Amino acid sequence: MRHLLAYVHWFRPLQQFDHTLHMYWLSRSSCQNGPYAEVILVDHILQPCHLVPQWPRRMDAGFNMDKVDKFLLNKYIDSDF
Amino acid sequence: MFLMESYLSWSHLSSGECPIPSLQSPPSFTKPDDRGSDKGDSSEQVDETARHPNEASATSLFTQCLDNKFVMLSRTCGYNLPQLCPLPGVHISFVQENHHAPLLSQALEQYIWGSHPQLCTTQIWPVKQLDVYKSISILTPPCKHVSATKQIFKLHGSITYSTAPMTFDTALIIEDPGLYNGMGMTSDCDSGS
Repeated sequence: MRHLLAYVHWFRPLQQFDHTLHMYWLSRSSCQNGPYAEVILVDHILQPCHLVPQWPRRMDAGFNMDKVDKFLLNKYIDSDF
Repeated sequence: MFLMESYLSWSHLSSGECPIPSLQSPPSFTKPDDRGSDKGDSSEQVDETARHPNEASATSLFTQCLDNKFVMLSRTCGYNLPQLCPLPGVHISFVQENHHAPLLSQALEQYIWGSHPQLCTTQIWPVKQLDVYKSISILTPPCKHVSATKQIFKLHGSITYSTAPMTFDTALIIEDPGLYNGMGMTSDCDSGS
């Protein structure tokens, strides 16, 4: 029997709503100082989504996206455009 | 942005239809040709499509998706993997070390133990092999304010290659299908405001 699975790193549930931007704030979910990873069925993937990172005020040479922990869930964009 | 929200709300309400069908409905693998073999049914269907051109285009896209071997989860939702696996038989240890999946074996064990309790003693060894795909195509329900053909999205999850940079896309995932109301994130944002 064939199982189609996906390995995902979770973000925290949608809880912090920004009433000015009408969008949710998101942050990475963690477990034991690492990402909260899970294997899911690909059936449960609904659609792609676009996250807007909250960039730091100053970026040094060693900056990478793993250091960004706060994002806006952009519900206005079609990510395949 | 708020005008767009209002339009979408009005559009869904005026049509009286749920934009995304529930995943709880059983998977449908029936081809359109198999449905409604009676002549009366087919003529009725022509009238319906004439009244609703968007549904006609959705039907043609549905047929096209079946031809492309999409696995349909409902009438308008499905997914497709490439016919040829780009990375067949890769060791789990290799995936963990080189594909940014450090917790793969633990996550796989948790999934197996949770979904198949009879296999609770099964352990995932690093030498076990998996077929690894770099992307998946998702078929989403039609969006009325965008083109009806803009329903297929590709989710990438691949490391850096000589021809392409590292890409790990983000996606909305239904955590509990029993609680999913079929409205996607627009519903969540509206209810949360």
